[in-house]
Amino acid sequence: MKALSLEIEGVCHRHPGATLDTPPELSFSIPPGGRALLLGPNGCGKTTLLQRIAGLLEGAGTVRVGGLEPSRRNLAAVRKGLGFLWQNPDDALLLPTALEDVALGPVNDGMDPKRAREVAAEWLERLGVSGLADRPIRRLSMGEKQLVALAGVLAREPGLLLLDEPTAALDDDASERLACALDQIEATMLLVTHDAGFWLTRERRWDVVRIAP
Amino acid sequence: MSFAAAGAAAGMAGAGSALLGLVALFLWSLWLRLSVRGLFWRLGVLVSGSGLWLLAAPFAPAQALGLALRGFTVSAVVVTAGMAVSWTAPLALLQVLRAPPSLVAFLAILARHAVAVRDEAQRVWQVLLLRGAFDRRANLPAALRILLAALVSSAFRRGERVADVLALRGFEGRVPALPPWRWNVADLPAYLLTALALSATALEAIG
Repeated sequence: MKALSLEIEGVCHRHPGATLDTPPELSFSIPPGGRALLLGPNGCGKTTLLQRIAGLLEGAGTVRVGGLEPSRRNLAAVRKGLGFLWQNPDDALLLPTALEDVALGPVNDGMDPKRAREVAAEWLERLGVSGLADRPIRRLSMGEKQLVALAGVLAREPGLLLLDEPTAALDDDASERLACALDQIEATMLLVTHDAGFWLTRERRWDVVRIAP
Repeated sequence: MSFAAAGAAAGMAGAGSALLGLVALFLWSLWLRLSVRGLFWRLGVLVSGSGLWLLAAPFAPAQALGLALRGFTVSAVVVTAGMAVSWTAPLALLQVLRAPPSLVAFLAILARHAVAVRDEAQRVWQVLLLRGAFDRRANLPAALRILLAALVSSAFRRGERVADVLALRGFEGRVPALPPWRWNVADLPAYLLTALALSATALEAIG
């Protein structure tokens, strides 16, 4: 899928019982193929913003993914072009073995099951974890789980990638492998992190969006 | 192994030899190098069901005690066999038997998350242990309440998260085929024992 634009206009969110908006009113945009780091202190609403973009939460302001708002009417179309990598890969891995889990998205997109397994194997290969294909998820390390989860997200070829602290639980080697994999992807990306230095020193250019507390 | 199988079968055939069957099963699990700790945990869950009968042994009629023992032996055979077979085999077998895809999908996702819940329980248990929750016997009920509450609350959280993940990953009820089921000689005794145990139970119920 071709890269999608992301537009955020006056988006803010107040959780039930809270006295502050997290995130406070925020506007920015990322052109197709662009990359941005989303920075801010703990609890300022970075993950909430990702959930708003994915249509998991509703609130004030306007979100547009490839020109479409993730409203009830467009939700399926928006989510088809969107990949979400959760901070904790244990939440995102749904099936008992790596290959089946990566093939889950393509199969549900209507791909022939045999072809879906081939696509899954290709993505595991591209991320350098083809050796994990038949391994039970429970036997994988956190870094391996995150790479398998990323393969599952990328196997649907999303136009916009939302990444919630993808390297938070990874060691240097696993972080590097994940970042190298992302370097090869042409999708638009919005990445939440507390380690801006790691991403800003990479070859690919990352813009910065800061959420003020 | 044949000794173990024969012992277990004998255990199922009569209440008097049920204990012998259990010993045989234990030897079989050692031969298979199953995790003894894992086996005891699983059998512990079974004992909690039939344990009331076993606790009441001195007062229970011999027939009831025999039935409890035989029931426990049959359950133990199924549990041990379940641990012995390669863990995706039952799901793959269901696919071969053309079980409804929704059932296979449900069991596959359940299998994955049962492990995650177990890991979560272990984590909470270790946190309680390290924070001294089990240091005094009087604290035990409170510690167990915290463990239960933490598990229930994390189960709700996990349920919501899994629903979000399913939506974002475009899940529409289809699950990729699991690796094709193949005969594995090492799994054969486990299948035979399970079939034997279930047949014995069915015959007992009919007879």
